[in-house]
Amino acid sequence: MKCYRCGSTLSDNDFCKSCGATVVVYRKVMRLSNTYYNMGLSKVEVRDLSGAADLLRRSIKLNKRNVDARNLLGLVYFEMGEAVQAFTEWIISKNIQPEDNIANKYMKRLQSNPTKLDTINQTIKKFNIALGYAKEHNDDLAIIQLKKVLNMNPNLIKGHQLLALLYMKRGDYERARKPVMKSLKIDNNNVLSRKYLDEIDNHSDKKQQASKDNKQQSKTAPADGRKRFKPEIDTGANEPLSGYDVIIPNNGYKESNTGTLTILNIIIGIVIGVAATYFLLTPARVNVLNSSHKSEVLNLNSQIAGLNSQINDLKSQLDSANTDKTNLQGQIDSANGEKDVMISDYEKLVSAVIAYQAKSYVECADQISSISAINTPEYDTKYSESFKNICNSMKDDTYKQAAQAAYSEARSLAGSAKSVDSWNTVVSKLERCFVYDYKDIDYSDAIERLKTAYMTRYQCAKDENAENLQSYKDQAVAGMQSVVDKLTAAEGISASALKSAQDSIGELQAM
Amino acid sequence: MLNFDEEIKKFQPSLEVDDTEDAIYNTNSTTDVTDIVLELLKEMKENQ
Repeated sequence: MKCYRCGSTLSDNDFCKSCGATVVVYRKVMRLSNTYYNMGLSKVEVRDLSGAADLLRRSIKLNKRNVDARNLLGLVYFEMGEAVQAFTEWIISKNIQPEDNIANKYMKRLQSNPTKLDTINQTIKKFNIALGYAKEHNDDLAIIQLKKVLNMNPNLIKGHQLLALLYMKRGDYERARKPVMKSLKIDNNNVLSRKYLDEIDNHSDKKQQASKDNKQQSKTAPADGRKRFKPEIDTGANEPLSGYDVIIPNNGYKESNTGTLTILNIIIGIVIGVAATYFLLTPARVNVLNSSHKSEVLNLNSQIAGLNSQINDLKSQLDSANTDKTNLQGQIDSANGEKDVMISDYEKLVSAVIAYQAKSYVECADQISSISAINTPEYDTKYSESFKNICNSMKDDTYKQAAQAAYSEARSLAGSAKSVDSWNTVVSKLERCFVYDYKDIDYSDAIERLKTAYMTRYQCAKDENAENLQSYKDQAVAGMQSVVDKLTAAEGISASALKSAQDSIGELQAM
Repeated sequence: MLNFDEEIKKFQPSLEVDDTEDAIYNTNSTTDVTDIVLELLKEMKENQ
């Protein structure tokens, strides 16, 4: 024991040898504090935690520097589930005696396990929430929350007590007994737990008494003679019921134990099992298959849509290709046509050359004049130079010869012509004169003769009652117009001849 | 017969870990009997 004034160790004397301070009362207070500590320790050894906590608190009240009492009080609090109060005592203890203090060990052990510390904190918070529910009369929520709390921290005496109280409030006294007993197992002399246990016992006694009264009443027959159902309670050797006993009413039911019934029960069980499989598992399986099939169908639909799109693309490509093919075919046909025409022109040129060598100038001129582009602007570009040279070398000479020949033949035929056919020949010969080189003949006379031939042919046709009379007239006008066009286009033509031709058109139209 | 609501009201919320500091200050500020005795001895000595 240390002197309160100088801190030196005290002897058995009533004063301090170092400073001379009187320590009689001080020593008594210290001894009383230690006595309370010893009593608390004894209580702890028999698990009277609340009693021990009370004595240890008294010890600390007498001497707040009693480190052993504080450490033990912290342990008691921790055992009762009050971790924060335990920490408080240990921290103060450490503050009073930093070295060689077991409180350090306690705290280090807890602090080295953060999960445990967090769990403790969670349970405290949940207990406070449960207490809030209980005060707000949400008993069910409070019970659920307390069960969670006690599952995490089974030593929380307050939790057991509150749970028991809530059960009792609901009238479930037998269920309330379990948490009360657990709390008494932790703290076997807890006043509040004892109080609750007494309440539960009193309630059980009352219930037992009531059941006895009911039993006595059942022995006396009812006045109206009817039998009344009363459950018979078999309490063994007429011993009073305790809270742990379970009352099973005797209702006279006896289980049949025949083999037939057993087989029947098995069959019923199988049927129920099959039905459950059919009605519970099959729809689920069907749903799974349906959903699988639906997803497959959707997948296939998307594939089909993609393929349809490809088909449409290919169709459009095919249409385009067909169009190109048609165009190319047209070009090929055109080219073939041109080729045929070209071949035909060459054949005509060859025939013209042969006729020219045979001095058949009219035939030669006819062949040259029948060349497709002989009098067109394409003539210069369409044929080769050799073609044109050959053609031109023969053309001038033969055209003169042919024109004179045609003119002569027309004149001689006109004298003997009597019918439409013979006048057709005359007209044809005279028209040919203007196809060839007509400048070397008397084209004024040829025009006049052509007009006369048209009119005479028309008259003959009229006399012969020809059906296509108007066509003769139209051909005559068109033929004379062609002659006028040629004369107009040519150079060095007599104006009187041109005028004569133009006037002839009017006469032909008027016939 | 217990008055359950009154009994529930007697329950106090447990201190949470965050409240430890306040709890220490409040506890440590209390004066013990030793302090009182020492104060009394001091007063007696002064009176003498």
